[in-house]
Amino acid sequence: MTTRRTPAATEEPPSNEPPAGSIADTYRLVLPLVEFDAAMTKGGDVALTIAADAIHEVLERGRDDARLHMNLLRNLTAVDWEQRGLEMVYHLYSIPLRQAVTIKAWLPSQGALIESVTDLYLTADWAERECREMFGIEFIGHPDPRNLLLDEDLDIHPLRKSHPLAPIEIEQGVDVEYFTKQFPPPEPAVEQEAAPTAAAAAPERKRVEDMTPEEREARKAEQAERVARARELAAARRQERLAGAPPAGGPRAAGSAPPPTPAATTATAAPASAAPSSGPSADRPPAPPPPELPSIPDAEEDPEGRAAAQAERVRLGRELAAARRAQLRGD
Amino acid sequence: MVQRTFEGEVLTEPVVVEREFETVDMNINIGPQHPATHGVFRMVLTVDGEIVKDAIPYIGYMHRGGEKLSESLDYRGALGYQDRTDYLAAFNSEWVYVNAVERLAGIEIPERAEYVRLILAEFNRILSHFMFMGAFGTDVGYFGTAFTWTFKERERIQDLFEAVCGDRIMYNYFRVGGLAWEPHETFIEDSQWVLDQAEIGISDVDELMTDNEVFVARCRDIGVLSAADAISYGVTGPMLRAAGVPFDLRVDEPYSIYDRFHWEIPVGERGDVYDRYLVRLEEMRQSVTILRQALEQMPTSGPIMPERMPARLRPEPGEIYMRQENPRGEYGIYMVSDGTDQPWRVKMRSPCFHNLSSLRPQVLNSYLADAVVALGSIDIVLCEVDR
Repeated sequence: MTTRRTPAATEEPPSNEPPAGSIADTYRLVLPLVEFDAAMTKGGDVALTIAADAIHEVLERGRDDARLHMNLLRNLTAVDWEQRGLEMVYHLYSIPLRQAVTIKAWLPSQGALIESVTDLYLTADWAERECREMFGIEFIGHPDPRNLLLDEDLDIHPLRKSHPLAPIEIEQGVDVEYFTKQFPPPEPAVEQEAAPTAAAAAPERKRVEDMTPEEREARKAEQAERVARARELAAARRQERLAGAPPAGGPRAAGSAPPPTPAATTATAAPASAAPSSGPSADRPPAPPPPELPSIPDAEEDPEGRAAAQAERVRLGRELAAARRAQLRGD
Repeated sequence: MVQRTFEGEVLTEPVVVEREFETVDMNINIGPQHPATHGVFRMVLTVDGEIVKDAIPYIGYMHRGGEKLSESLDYRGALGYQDRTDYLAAFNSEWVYVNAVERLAGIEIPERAEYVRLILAEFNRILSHFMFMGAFGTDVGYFGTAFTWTFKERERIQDLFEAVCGDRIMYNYFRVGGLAWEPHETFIEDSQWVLDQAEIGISDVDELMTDNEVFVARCRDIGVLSAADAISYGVTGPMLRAAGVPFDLRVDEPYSIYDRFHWEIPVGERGDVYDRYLVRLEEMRQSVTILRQALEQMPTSGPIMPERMPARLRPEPGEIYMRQENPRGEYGIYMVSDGTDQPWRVKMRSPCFHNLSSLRPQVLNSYLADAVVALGSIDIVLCEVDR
């Protein structure tokens, strides 16, 4: 596997202004209070970077305004830029007007929160679920934030650049080393230290083809042990989750996405520190802090509670969106 | 949702039968290993008698982390992976990928290579739709006949592909800049012959299925999706056109050399399963029209790769969302370059992923047997859904 590459953190991507009369001007006309940072992509589309808290407003007006009519959300994804944060990317298209646009927003790497657009586009349901599990971005107001492609119990975010790609990803894509690092066992394993040292006496890792049969057996045993340990950890975590007392700030807070601390929340509201080009203007009113999201209990455990919690999440998200819209309109 | 009674009467409400006993909703698990799901797809249906009351789809059994893998290889290395997403239309998927890299790196493609690519991709569209006809016929109740007939046709096209690139399914023939090697000498003549045979095959399928009373009864007004719902669900391709929206990227956002040919976009009216079948059938005929013109216009000699190609591709930092019309809808590659020889981000926009997400409203309040037909009409390839 190749060595880790460092992104061009200091360099700004070359931004060339779209020509006059492009769709960027239409967006500026429709939404005068939102600040757009426009650039052309290599595919000839216009990419507009906005502040993350205006995403619902921009997509809603873009869909409903007759001059834009963006009725197809063709793609929704994110890009992990490590130090610079996460970049949400929405590809929109207007079937009647035959125009395309890319909307982008910057989020902080830790505690990323953004409004869900499931109430605008039904396709955002699955797309946001995928984005959430792959990048660890919480979508406020998503009715059903379960894992989609990954195993239902997994709490890893594989498309983050910090997630390593193991040579052999054991057990349905769980990288055991990463997993154990993320959820360390409760006690420091003293006796487990002793056992592998005897097995792993060789100074460097040998290739499997070069190993003697005994070494292969030892390696197999070691791997089985690691897998068993990961399974135990996963079972313990699941038990812990089923037993109730989910950590504050959401059901996933114990994983790699820490609970949204007040500091992280303010960073969400004003991602200027993460993205120099996307800071809100000075006269923009600051966004209200996102509400505390209720955790969603397991379906088998508490079906009514689950439904109620989901409804509550949706309601909170809608309230927040409405408040922000009213604020942006200047009511 | 329109419901039919056994007498053929059409009702707008679900059939309500006065029952002596109370019924209980029952959960039925279908898949992931079930022939009716066309791959490793699982859905949990809640049924009240024969009426589906709820449907929860589960995907991800085929998730192989293709985006992550593509990001850890160089620009050319991840090309073979594209065959493994939509394996029924591998040429089309490869084409999107190489086009994305070419546009990102600013590479010009020779005209002849463009023609060969287009011809192979259109043949692949016919092949994929033949496959749909066979599999869908089996879903509906033609045990065997439709499958064997369409596979015979598909086999001829696969033989042509094998002669061109040496492989029957995982072609890996397109390269960044052009093609891997020259197509064989009799490529145009062979293509003409295969095309003639395919046209006969399309008529055969048409005669076998279109007017069959049982087939029509099994497909009409099943899995209806309105145009507004379809767009909101991100549905593209034949499914969206069956709902009456003439959206085809070959016309709406023209790429490659599609503006040189004359053809039409077939559009349905009701957005039901039968319209989807009809749209696909007509699309095959339109592909034949495109292919006839392309084979006539194609230059017989000329380069298939640019004269100078860099040994390692290092595109300038930038991004592109390349989208093309695959047999199943809009296939997109979102690629971000950071100036190194590996892409920083590769996202595959899979048409089946979005088409499949619209399954639930199609099967609600329909009969259990119709749910299988509605699922079959989406024409899913699970490798592409899960990536």
